[in-house]
Amino acid sequence: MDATYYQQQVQKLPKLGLGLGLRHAHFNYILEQWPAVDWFEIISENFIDSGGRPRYVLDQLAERYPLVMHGVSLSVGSTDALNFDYLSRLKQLARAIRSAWVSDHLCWTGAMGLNTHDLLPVPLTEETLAHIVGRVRVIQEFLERPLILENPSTYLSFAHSTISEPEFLARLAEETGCGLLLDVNNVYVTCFNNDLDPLAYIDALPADRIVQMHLAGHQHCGTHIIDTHDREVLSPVWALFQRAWQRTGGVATLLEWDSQIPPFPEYHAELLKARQFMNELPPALTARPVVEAETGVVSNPLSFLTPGIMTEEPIIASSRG
Amino acid sequence: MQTVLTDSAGLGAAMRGAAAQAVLPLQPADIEQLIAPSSRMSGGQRLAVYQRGYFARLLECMAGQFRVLKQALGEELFEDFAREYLAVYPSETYTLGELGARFAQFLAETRPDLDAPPEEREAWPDFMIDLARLERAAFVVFDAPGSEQQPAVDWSAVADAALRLAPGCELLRFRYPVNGYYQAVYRGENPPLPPAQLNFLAITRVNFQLVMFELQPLQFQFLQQLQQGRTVQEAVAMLATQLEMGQVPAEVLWRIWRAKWLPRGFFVAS
Ligand SMILES: [Fe+2]
Repeated sequence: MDATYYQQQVQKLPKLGLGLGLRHAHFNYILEQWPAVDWFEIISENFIDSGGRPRYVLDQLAERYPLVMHGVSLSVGSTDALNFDYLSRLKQLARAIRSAWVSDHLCWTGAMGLNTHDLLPVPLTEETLAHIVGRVRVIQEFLERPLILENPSTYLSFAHSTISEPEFLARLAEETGCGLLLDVNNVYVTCFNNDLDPLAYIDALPADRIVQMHLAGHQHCGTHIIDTHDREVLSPVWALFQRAWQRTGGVATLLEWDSQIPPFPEYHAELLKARQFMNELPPALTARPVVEAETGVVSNPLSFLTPGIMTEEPIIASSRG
Repeated sequence: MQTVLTDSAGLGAAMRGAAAQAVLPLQPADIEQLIAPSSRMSGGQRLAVYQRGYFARLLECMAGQFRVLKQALGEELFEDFAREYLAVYPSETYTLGELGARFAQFLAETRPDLDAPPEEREAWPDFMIDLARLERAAFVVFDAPGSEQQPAVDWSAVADAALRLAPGCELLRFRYPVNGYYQAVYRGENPPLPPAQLNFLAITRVNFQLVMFELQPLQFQFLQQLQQGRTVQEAVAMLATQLEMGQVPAEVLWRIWRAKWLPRGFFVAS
């Protein structure tokens, strides 16, 4: 299939509304309350190998909510060969839970067989663009659906980069037909860390290729911003959301919260703030950011990715004899 | 970039290290040629954000997967071991589920008294290794394919010949009573390290919940026979010979065990 075919598929993807990330800590609440959330996004790696409770819970949710699979291990920018075992697990789960789409990041996670489990930046050059275009095409053929790629938070850029990130994403979408996941918090983080204008970044993206948005909280460390996903969305990010909402006509929007995860109602309430900012800018935009030391916080936290086998509920029975 | 990120030695040392030099022979000063500075940070400082993040993020995952071991070792010592572990056995797969797979093995390979004769070795490394094995096994059984989704079985109608040990049933032998320690930590207690004592454990899963079942040595041997592919009949025969008790008492013993183990998810019907 060619780029036009996948582009048409992208255009047909539904506007799902306001969604939340599915977190282990909220399993019981969701199963008991069936809260009125428009849709859930799962971290693909959490479920593609699960034969236990996580997958069992997911299958129940798939009956009631639209689901989207968001991955962190595709490593589309790497020079290592694509992992077709991983891809076939993605494909299998996507079919089983009728995932509305499958996304990952414009990044590499490792090379020479190793996985750093981080979303590392790629040099933005003609050479890497051609490399990634080729890989996206293979991935889309294999998955038999368009791939949706997200702009990562970056903390550095390469001196030999020649293409801006939004232009890189636009050309990638043009040449492969893939869709885009616009993380407006990542735009804010990346633009601060690289001295760029975040509004200009958003305006430079092809709005008709954007399928989904991410919102999240970050931590300002003075010299740089870390994408911590551990707090509420900050005002400047809501402002970017407003611009992107207007430009895209309101695509599926998801709030990420991966560390210091609050109780479900609080998490949901933070997401619903998005309704206020679809058409209006947040107040206090000019306030100075709160600056905190980097100590103890990480970008794209991972610990929520593996199931806590111990929760507050007594799931362990111990017996003798 | 990756080789520098995953080195526990710090940025300058990592770049000069053999691993990084083998990939790309660069000196720390070359970073500024490769990585653009921002208005507030040099290229090296920006790379260092990723390097700090690499260990911090994975250490958090290790702490989540070895919660009890972390309490037993104390935070600082746990982090030292986990950091060295990640340096020696970095992740090679797409899933974090495998991150801790070789941790117990690593602890055994790096115990401080490795070269001493067994009788002169200290006790605490044995305890920690056992604990790491237990936590890893529980983690694996929790999310392994189980038999919950199979149609319900009327066990009274299943003959011994059709019983097989459930694929998710894990049998473990420990030198320390780590199960009691593990349970106590999860109850929120801060138990002392127990003295050595052989501990036999079966870990199974019922309704997606873990079951930790302490076994007598004889029961453990019996279940091991099944695990090795022997039939219940063969295992009962072994029991009879071992106990010099004859076939009938062995059969009686098995009936008692069978009734206890069936509802605990030990078996599947074939
Ligand atoms: Fe995101």
